Amino acid sequence: MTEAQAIAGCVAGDPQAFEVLYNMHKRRVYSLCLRMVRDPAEAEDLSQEAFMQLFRKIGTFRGDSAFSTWMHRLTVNIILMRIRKKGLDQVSLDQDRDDGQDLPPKEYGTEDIDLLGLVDRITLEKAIAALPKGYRTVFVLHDIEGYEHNEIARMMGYSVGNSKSQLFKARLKLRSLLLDKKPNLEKKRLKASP
Amino acid sequence: MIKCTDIQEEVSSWVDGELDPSRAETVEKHLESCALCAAFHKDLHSISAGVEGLESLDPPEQLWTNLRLQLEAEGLIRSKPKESFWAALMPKRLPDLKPAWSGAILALFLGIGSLLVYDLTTRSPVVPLPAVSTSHQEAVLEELRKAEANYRAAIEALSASSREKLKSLDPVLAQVFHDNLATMDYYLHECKEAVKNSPENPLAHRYLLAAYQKKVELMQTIVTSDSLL
Repeated sequence: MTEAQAIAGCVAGDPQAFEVLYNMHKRRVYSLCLRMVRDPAEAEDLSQEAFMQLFRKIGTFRGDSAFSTWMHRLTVNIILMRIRKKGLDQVSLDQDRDDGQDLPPKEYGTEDIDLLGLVDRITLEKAIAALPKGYRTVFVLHDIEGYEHNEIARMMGYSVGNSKSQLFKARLKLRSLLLDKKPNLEKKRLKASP
Repeated sequence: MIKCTDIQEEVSSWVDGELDPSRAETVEKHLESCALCAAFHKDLHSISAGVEGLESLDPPEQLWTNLRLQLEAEGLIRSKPKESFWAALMPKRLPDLKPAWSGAILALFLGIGSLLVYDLTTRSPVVPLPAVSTSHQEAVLEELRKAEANYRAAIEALSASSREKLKSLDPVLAQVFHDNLATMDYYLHECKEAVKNSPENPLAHRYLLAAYQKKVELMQTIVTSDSLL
């Protein structure tokens, strides 16, 4: 069954079509939810909410964009609504204080900041999960999910410049976390040089 | 004097292809003479390559089970057992039956079917479940196990007499009852799986108990089926 046939089947209430469409998109939806909220139980709950919204509204899908894009935006909206309910948007505008550290937290010497060979999948997942919430949101949306700054700014309700700035800080923090996890490495921390 | 922190913010935009060409030139020149910023630039590419290698993760199995229950509860899809119940039994059997039997069996199936439909459609939709304590969940599951044990005892008590009754019935009617029992067993199995996959879901509990109840009712109908003929 193709995606188009599954969509038509869902509109007609065909049980198999729902399962096919779910299986096509479950990993991407769940991964996005999990990376954004970190908590597996909440990610599962959000995924269920996203799919239910999708299936309720599937009759309104007109094919103007790819179905995956439409579904993805719907999922992001649900996640962001949940995050806003928890008040995350307030801290995300001034993320520096989120983890009690001002950026730039530290500078690393040139001999130990080559991350090649370090950024394996598990280490990177852990470092992303350890990012402060606001940083994680913008990093996941931009660097993992491929959203543009103007889209993120619109969704998050702040300026494009703010989105770029948040992403820079997120990357800086992520790098710092990765370097901290690098084993058997003698770090030479230098102050920022002019 | 250019600060490395300022340059690195521009490096971040540069790797995204979002830096003004004149600024890009300045940044590039700076990187040639600053090992710190050059290393930062290199690391951003490493992170970017690492992100491309990230895999999507499989959700837990119960996500689809819960989703399906909610879809059924909201009437967006119909459950397979209900479809097979009517599709498998009604069209194949009724044309061969005498008119009186047809009417009786139709009434029987309509009664059982409508009870099933009533039970399933009057349930409230699944909503995200509030967190409950483990001890409360265990108590609920214990109650469920007790109810199951009672239904199993009732089924056991009815099984011998219903088997005997089926032997004495017209073979066509007996076959209809056999098929109907098989459908109920399938439905029971599905409900048990739903409970197994999401033991905390009260809707799955209700469906399971409804399935047991329908099987007991069907067996009682078989035992008293003389009155239908």
